[in-house]
Amino acid sequence: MSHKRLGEFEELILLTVCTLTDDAYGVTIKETLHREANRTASVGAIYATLDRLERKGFVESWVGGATAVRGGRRKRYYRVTSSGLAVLAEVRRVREHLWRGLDDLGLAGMV
Amino acid sequence: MKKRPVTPPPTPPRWAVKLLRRHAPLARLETTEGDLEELYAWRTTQAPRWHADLWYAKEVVLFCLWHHRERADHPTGHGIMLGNYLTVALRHLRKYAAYTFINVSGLALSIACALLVFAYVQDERSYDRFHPGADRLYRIAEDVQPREAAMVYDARTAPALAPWLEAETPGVEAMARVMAYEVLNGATLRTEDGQAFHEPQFLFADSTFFDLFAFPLVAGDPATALDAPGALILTEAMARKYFGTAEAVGQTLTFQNDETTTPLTVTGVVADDRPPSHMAFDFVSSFATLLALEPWFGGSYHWSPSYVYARLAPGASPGVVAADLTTKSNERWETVGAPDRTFVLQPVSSIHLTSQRENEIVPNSRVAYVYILSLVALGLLVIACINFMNLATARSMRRAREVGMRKVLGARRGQLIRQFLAESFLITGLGLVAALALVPALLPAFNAVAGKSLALADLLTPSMLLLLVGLTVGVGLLAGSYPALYLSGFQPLRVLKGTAASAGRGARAFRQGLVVFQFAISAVLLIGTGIIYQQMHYIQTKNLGFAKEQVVVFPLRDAADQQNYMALKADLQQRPDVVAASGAASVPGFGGMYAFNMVPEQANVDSLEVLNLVADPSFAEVFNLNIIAGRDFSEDRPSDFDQAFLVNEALANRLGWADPVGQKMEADFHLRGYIRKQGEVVGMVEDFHFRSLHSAVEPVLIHLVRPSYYIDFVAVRLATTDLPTTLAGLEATWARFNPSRPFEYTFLDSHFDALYRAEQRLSQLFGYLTIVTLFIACLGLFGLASFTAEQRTKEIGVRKVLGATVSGIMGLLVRNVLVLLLIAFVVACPITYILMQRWLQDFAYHVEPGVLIFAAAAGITFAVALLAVGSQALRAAVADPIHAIRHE
Repeated sequence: MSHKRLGEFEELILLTVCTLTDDAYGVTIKETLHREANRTASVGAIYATLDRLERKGFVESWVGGATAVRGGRRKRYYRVTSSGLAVLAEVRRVREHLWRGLDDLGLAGMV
Repeated sequence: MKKRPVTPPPTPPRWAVKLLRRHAPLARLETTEGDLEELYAWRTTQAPRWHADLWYAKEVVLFCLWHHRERADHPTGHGIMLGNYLTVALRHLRKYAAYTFINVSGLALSIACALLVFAYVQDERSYDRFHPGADRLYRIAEDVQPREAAMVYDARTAPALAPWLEAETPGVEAMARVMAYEVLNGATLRTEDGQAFHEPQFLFADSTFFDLFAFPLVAGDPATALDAPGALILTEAMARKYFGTAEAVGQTLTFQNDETTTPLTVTGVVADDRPPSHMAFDFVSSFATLLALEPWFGGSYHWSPSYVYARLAPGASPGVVAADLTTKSNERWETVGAPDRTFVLQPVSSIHLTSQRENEIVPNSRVAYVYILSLVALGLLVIACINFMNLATARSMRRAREVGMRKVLGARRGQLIRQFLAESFLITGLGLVAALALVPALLPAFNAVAGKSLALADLLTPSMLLLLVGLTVGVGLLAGSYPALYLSGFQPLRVLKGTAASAGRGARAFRQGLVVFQFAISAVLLIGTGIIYQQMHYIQTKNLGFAKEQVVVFPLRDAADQQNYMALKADLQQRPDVVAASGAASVPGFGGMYAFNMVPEQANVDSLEVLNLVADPSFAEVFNLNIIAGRDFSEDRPSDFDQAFLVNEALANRLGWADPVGQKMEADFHLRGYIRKQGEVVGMVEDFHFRSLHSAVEPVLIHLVRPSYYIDFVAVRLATTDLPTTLAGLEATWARFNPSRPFEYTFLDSHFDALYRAEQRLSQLFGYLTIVTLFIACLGLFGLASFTAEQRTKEIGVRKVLGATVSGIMGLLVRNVLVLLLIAFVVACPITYILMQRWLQDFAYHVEPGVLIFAAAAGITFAVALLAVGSQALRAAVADPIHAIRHE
């Protein structure tokens, strides 16, 4: 089942790809990560994670059409697959369950 | 969204793009390149171009690394094969363990030594760089030209400069006067329970002291600590000595000066752990305290007893300030007849390494020594690198077949280069690790020799670690590049046929050149060490014109001590273990003679400013001075006190007196006002060395003055074999006359030796480094010799079968090395001679490096090298030829 697990950075990337819907490629992912999570990651690290996610079947990618900017080079776009969405939902469910437990104990304010 | 300019498109550095194209997987190349370019373009709008370039390069490298890491899961890829290179390299190193050991140990030793030396150099160079505005901080020193005497370069100047600096000199931002109390005869401190200590490192300083010098305080406010009269700053160590705790603020000590005592209150404690500075002190009291004791002091024009420091405003020129001061001083001091002075502004951060003026707070180091040691460390590294290169190229024949095989199996040249570089980096890496393990073990010994207190933390600073990594990569590249480029260029067919050996000729010449270079470096060091040791021996054994053994010196610190002097002397003379006792204004090695004017009746000058040595009739007896003409002073002739002079040879020569005895002259001196003494020369003493052998003997006039105003030191010549008893006796005598003051004594010989501490350190450091250098060079030679012997096994076997003797074969193997050593020596001798002459110029009295020292160095090198080569040659020569011929 290990391939069904998500690392912390993997989870962030996966969520980022989700929020970017149709515009998820290297540059936008990097910028969103920086803006939303204040995380500075190299393009290499992002692609490494995306590769891993793709192998696990959580994202799929395709190469877009030629662009006028960036020297006419194409972009590789990413999209979350249904199993990717499922694993995100699972992660969220587990977290929310645990947080509710904290609320019940009246400890949430301490965190 | 952010602004993304379309035109003109800035392009990333081409080499980085190339790197990306070479290493990124093809499937990913286009999109990644696009992403990076897009980000790069945005970055160029946000930051300077080079910033963006750097970022781009970083991204490329990281991408390739990530890409590579991912690739590890897919062993079928054509990636960098890093793991494979390492595996093969490790196997190889393990297989040839002796070779690995020679390389790793040589590198480890040299890197460890280099690291220690660099830490030493860094420490030496870091003096006084921690003060705010250190680049604008200057000490005002003065060059004084007395009449008819040599220029005096004094580190100190007149305290009366202060008002000018504060008010009238543009460009001065802040200033502070510092006065070492030692010149006023030292400071005696008394605790509340009556214990007294003499403190040599006692300073007085203006309240702005901590504004200029950022010594860290563990207690007290630096802004106000030196404001009030009676304020006292001390170091943590001193706080513990006097109060048993570092929390000493508010405690009091009594400062004793002649009959007066001044209570001092601790207002601050300086951290023991402070950055290095030329300003050595244990105590700093406020200048206001000094002025309360000696009110005339602040306005002194003639006398230059204080160190004056100034921080200039940004942009102000030190040359202009110095010229301004010089002009003002000449205008104002002309009226009081002060000698010509020129002021010099010395950058404070350069004092420790470059200032060799009179009256430094503590003797400074010399920048030349820092350069010399750096060069030696560099030489050491080069020698270890050469070992590595030599052994690697020598082994290349053995590996030629491996290379050929790899090529046949499809290895590309780039891969082979990387393979060899991996081995090279592995060895340097191992060397580095071993060096790091070695450093803590060597550090205490190094500190003892170098007189430093470097801690491991000082050594392993980020910059030092960066330097180390750089060094390792550099050495790895340098040492690995030759075999990597050379071996990888083999033609596989020729190698496999076994004919590539002919290609080894050029390599052999190259190896021999490197061996010559190595041994030339070793020879330079060895001869240099020899000359340094010779000079040190010369210094310590040269006839100084007086006998320094068995002489104890103790200072008289104030007028009360001086009053009791005659009685003290009489008592000392009574003791059976005392040969003679004498007082004097100064004794050899202690400096501090005063220069006064003299007027000879018949001489080649009308008047002369000359160093005066006010002494006692028994002075010549205590110091075993040699009277070469006329007579000594005599206690039995009271007129000697008023009318007699002794001159030294230098003074007689200076005045052109062939026969000084009987010459009439007048001499000034100061005793509550100027006094002119008329008299005649009664004798001439052989020149004796009053200062270290760095400086020439100057003309000295010796005479007697009563009362004992000038007697600052008492010197006692002993005749004893039981030193502890004698010293206890001296102390008892001292206590009878000066009960209030501790008995402090110095042995003249050890004090004199201390004048050469910098040279002694240099000679020891140099000696050890030379041994290491020679060892590493011989290690390499040993490896090379064993390889040569092995390579010629078959030839030796055939020769033996045909009747060659063991000695004949040994000669064959050794002869070549001897020729190389000879060439190395021929190269090294003139270089060393020139270098060492320059070092010796620092001494007014020095040895002439003779043939003997060169011969001895040559002998040592040859002997050690022969041992290294000979053992291998012998092994090859006595081996049973049958094994040799069956070889292969």
